[in-house]
Amino acid sequence: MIIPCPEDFKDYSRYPLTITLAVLNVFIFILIFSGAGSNLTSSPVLQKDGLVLTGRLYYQYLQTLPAEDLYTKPEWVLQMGSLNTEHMGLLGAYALRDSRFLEKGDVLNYRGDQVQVASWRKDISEFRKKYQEQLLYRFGLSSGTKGPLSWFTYQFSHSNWMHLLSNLSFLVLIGAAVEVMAGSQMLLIVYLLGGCAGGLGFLLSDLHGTVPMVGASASISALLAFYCMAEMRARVRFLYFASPMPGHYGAIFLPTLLIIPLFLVVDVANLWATPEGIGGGVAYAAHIGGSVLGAIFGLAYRGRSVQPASQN
Amino acid sequence: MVFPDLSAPEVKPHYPKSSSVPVAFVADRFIALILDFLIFSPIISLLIAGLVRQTKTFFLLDIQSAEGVVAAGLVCACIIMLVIFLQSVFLYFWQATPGQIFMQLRVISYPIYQPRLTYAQCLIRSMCWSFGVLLLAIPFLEILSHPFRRAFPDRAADTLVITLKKQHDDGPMPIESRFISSWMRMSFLFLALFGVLGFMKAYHGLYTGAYKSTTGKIAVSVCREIKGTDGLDGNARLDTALSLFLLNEISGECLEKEAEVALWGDPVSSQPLAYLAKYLLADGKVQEEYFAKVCEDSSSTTCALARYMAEGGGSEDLEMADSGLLVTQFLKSEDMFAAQDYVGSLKTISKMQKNPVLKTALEKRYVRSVWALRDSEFTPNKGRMPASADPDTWIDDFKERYEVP
Repeated sequence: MIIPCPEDFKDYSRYPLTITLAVLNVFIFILIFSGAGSNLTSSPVLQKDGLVLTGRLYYQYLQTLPAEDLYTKPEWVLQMGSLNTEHMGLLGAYALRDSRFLEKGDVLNYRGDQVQVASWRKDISEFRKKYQEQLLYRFGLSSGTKGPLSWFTYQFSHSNWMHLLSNLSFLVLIGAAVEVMAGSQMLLIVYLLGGCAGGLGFLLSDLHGTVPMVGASASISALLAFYCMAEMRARVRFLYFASPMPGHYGAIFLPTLLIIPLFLVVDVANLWATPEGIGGGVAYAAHIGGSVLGAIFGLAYRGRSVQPASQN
Repeated sequence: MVFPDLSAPEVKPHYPKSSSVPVAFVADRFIALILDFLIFSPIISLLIAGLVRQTKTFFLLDIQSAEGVVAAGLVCACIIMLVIFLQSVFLYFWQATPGQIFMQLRVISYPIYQPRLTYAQCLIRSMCWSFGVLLLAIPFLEILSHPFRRAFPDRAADTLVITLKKQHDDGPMPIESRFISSWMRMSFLFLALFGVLGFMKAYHGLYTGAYKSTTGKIAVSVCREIKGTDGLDGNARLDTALSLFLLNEISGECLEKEAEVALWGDPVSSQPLAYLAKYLLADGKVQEEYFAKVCEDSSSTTCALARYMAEGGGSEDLEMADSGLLVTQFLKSEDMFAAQDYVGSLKTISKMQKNPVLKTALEKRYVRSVWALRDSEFTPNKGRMPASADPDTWIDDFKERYEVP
């Protein structure tokens, strides 16, 4: 494990906004998960037979789409066989991520077992209702019709404790470094706008998805890229831990640019290596969106801070 | 030609005292390795992302995909080639990998000093390094035992890893060196043992058909319990499946699959019979729904069958059913048997047994009817028997078929 860890980390008074942002993330996480559970996982649509049935109906739905819409679907979706139940289960899982199908899928005419279809119509409308009632869905960002506030609320929402803790550890480390270097105002701008850019990247990669994106990772990617570009020539302290044996852990000063292969290139590689439409649970496109904005802001900040120095 | 002077003393490699060579610390080399991994792995992942994506897609569509196996092999080959390429390029231009640069380590030519490494040295070192990784990194244990921390890749390429730091490693203690060497030999022995066992298992699997093509094992919904129906499809297949289900020859799950194929297949076929099958398999409210679906047209022959199967159904419903269907014929034979019309039942069974799929399945029914017919001959009330029927013919047929004296 190796993570960038700037020096002067012990002086809490130097990065008050970073601490505030971290606390806000924890507060919103508790707010989301303090409510009653929605029992969404017990929905018949999400059971094995339900997914197969949804897949079969989605297969018919695909046949009604015009060619130009059909070819926007992932390649593997078009290779599915209608008699293969495993394929239909996969297709069903994909169908539940397609907002257009979820919106009007229950009013279309389907051939097949009409008794099952009638039951599915009821189940899917109930599933849709429950899904949209979830606080995580309302706070998260997705292509579904939601207010502009979700572009900001998603940046403070997390899906589970591990998600929250991993994001917070990076937020505190990088946020502190950025805040000490560029000030609280710049940190807030990069955090919020980076999150919005990440959201844009996510929506562009998943135009009709229903699964909401949550997490501060896009904003953190923006902060990482910002720091990396602003401190391009500097060496920053990285903490490493390989084993508890002497010499196998400690601090090492490495170029800031090492952040790019360590964190940002990984996102691009993962995005390209994942078949389209298969949600791996990580919004790599959002990370890339945030990184691009952070890099631009970092370069601008660097240019601005170098200019007065050269004028002097 | 000059022969070597055999009287000369044996030539032994000369190792200078390790204190005179700035040998790199093992911990530094380990951290450099981690840094290399962290730097190279994203780059390599990025370069092979397209191939990985394609491989994942192959396995997504079919978990036993042969294309997927080939693609996965290509991914591994690409990773090895890229590691060799990147490592050798860095060694040639910078005399160190990126991690070694950060840890202030350098790779030099040894024992014959050269100002810089040749590309052949870099390539051999990288290839041997990759080979070492493939052998579960066991050859790297030599770093712990060799006086100059030279593992197999270093010795093969005539190189040595040195440190630019003021302090350097003094090499292992003799006892430490011996312990690690014996440990490494033992590890190799175990690796060879597992390798041989794996080879023998694979060889055995090859002859027992463990690697036979699995093309036919795709999870297609058609039931595989029904044998000999290759030529049948649509209505005929489902009709046969229904008859076999009523004969307890196939499971409910199998009939369900057949009904699903009929209902969801492309094109949709034999819907009424498929709904009838679903009606038979369902219970409670769902069964009522399927009954309503079958009897949307209450005058249909399939609805008549469903009514007969429902509680309170009578023979008049069976008469309205399509007599060309095997399932109707079977139910009629059962109805006749229940009414003690054994000859009529036997006639129907014989007619159905002309269908090769049902021949064996109906044999028990045939024997049961013959047995009942024989019994009825010894009882005062012989049961319902048409004037034209000759029970002795059936019994003779049975004796002939089963070679009963």
